[in-house]
Amino acid sequence: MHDVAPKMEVQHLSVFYGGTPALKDVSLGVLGGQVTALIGPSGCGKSTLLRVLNRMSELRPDARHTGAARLDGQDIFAPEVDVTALRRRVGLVFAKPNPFVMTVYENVAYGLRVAGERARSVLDGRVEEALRAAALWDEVSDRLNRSALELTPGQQQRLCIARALAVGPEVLLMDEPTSALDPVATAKVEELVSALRGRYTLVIVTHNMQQASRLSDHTALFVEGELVEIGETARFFTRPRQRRTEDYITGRFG
Amino acid sequence: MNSASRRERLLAGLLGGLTAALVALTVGLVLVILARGLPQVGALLNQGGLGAAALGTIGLTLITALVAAPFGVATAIALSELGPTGRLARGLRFGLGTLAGVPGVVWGLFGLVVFVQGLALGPSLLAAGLTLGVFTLPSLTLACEQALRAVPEEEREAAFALGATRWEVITRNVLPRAAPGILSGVALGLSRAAGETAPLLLTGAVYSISGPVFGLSAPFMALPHHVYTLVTQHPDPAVGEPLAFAAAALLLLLSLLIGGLAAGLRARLRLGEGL
Repeated sequence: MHDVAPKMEVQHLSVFYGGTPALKDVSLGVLGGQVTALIGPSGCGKSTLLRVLNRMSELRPDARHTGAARLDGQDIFAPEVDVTALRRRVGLVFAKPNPFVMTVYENVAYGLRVAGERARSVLDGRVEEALRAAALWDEVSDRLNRSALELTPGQQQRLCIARALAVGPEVLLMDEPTSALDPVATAKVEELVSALRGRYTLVIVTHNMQQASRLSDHTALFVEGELVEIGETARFFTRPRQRRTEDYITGRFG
Repeated sequence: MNSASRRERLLAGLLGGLTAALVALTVGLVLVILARGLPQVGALLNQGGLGAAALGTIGLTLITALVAAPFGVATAIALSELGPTGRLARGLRFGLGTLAGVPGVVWGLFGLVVFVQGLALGPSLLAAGLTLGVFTLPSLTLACEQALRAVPEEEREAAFALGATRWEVITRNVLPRAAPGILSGVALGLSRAAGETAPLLLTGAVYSISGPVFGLSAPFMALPHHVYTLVTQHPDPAVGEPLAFAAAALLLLLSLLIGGLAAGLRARLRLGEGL
């Protein structure tokens, strides 16, 4: 992965909550159009890394960081960067489906509306497009004006993905997107991730190593805030280079 | 039956009994006041100043609403959403909590010094309304802040992640979700203010008025103050007591009206969510 410029990268990134380090001197790149999985035990810093990539980390007043994070080579923390524009380019899907207490339509239109889009015809088109991209259109096209909370948890999570896709992101971050879902709903979200691969750069945090190996092109293991190893997924799981990687994927710790 | 489940049954029985007692007490209170008061209201509305007192209380409640609701809601938003953290926020909440516990008569004294004398409003409806407004402000602010903080953090995070600004998160997500709770807080605060007597004693409430019944800069009559005066000062209890019950019944109806308006608004808000 050294031949191609990464879509996103962090260099010597450390993040602290209060005085406690959550990430320690992490450097890695994420390739455009590919799926990168971040795995590791709870509290290892993988979700923290995800939240740095679209600056959601800033919402915690006690968080600070050192080091660099770049999107297409541009420092995302540079003073001239508009954080709302950055978050439209780098979307985030949460672990627990968290649709707004609004209609299905308004959920998907939300990001477009705050981006200033008012034309009903444009909104209609983009909402349908996003719902189709999230493989949800056929299930909800007849109840766009019903509450999003009436959907099943699996549908709600795909709605949240549609909501993120509607604003036209380049990168989609997913924080354990199937951890609150049953196996059938999980399979649908995984299918969706595979379908989105190529069109979007995807970074997925997951607890599930089978999921990482099924879905991702590259996998990175974090332990206690440190990046242990990153590599092509097939090689990562079959011939890990680090002892700690081998221990983790064979279930000896974590 | 084992002892654990017996204990649970006992506990459930105890709680049920207490709840029933509380409900009986509340309903009894309302029924007694309405039963003794309501039949008099019609006959006495034009006598004994009931009409003027009711009008005065409505005026006071409106002024209170105009003062306390906008400032209270704005302060609550600032406290909950604009994130003063650490010592500043703790200090502000401690201050509000303390102020909310200050007795009405002390606020009356404050109103006398600041509004009646300081701003030279004189003993008047306006001075008393402003006093009730600042009296209600702390508790109303805390109630609204509770409602705002009850909005789950995931709602805000989801909005931020879609590129919303803090202002958009507040107006599009937090306020709509907190609106029912805010309405309840405002309604409760106004009901309490409408029933307060002490802040009025020093700011212009009188037992009877002649001439124009209603004016911002004139002394005024108010229902709770009227009840107090009728019971304690009326020379003939046989005349004063029915009047007092009638005034109390009117006050109760006003509280119910405020509560009912809030409930109606809440229901409309829920419909407005497009559900």
